[in-house]
Amino acid sequence: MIPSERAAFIDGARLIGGTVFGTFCWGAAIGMALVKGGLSSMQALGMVMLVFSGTAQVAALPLIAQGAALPAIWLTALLANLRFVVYSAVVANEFRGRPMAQRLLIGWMTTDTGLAAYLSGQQKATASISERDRAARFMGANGLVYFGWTLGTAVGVGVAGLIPDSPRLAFVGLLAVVAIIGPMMSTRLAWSIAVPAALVAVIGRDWPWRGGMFAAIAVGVAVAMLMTRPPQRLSGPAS
Amino acid sequence: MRLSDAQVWGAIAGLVVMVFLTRNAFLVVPMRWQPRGAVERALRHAPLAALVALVTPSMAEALIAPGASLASVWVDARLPAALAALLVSRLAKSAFPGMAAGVAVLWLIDAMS
Repeated sequence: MIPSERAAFIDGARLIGGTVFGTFCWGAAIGMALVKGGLSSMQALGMVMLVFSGTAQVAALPLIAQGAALPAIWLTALLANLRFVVYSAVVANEFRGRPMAQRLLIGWMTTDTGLAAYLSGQQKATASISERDRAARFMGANGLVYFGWTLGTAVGVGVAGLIPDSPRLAFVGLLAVVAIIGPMMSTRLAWSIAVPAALVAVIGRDWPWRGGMFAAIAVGVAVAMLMTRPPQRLSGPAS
Repeated sequence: MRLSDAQVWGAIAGLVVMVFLTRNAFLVVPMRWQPRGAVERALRHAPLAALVALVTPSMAEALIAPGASLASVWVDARLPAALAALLVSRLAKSAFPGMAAGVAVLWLIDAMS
């Protein structure tokens, strides 16, 4: 890692900052749930470190616990994670010049909060930085999420059965997400996206395979399309 | 019926593949298939919509429950805590103080009730 990359990596981690505590709590709640769902400690840890997706794990866990067919488990996880296909289009464009191996690593480590924090950091950035440093920044943000998540799950797996699990623990993770949303809500566009997305998500909260969430994203992106003007040429660090 | 150890590992391996496929979908397809222009720019707002969608159902749960009242929403504490987190993080332009405020409100209400 060259110095500017290291600085960018730390800068990226700073975008997540203390909210990693929320990720940690969320991970702990998931770790406890996995063990209660019948996974061994090794399986729970392996799942968290390799799958690294709360939504896929939460969707798959009840099916694993009831002994569903493997293809059904896989399909459920695939559908629950469809929003990442949308993210991958953003990430692919953002890092199109990076070597394939790094692109795949970047894609695999993409998280909701990491990507959101990175993108809002990009919007506020005054000076444009090289794609290599941007990649380091992205990895810094998502790397810290990975760290907090994995550590939290390990603790959760360790203490499962020792302390009663509280829905409050997982909720701290959601509060961290709310706090990441807060600073993003500084424009009319952001509110125009967030309000209908929130309504759709509440209406579709019980739709299967996180359908409500996917519909909320579709509505949000549609609003963004309608409200953003045609491109000003040569603007934005991404192009 | 419970899955055997090997089956659980098989399930996990499949999950790894699924997550890898979704997160890398557009990273492996040819450049010319990538969304460009207005669509690409609009997609950059997808994470905001997703984060909002991730949190709002549980925030709203007490509010939309049958027989909900101001008191029940207060005792549930999730909506007040979330509003505190949103307000403080927005004013501070920083996430951590917002999360701390949300947790504090959660604790306070739980301690009071």
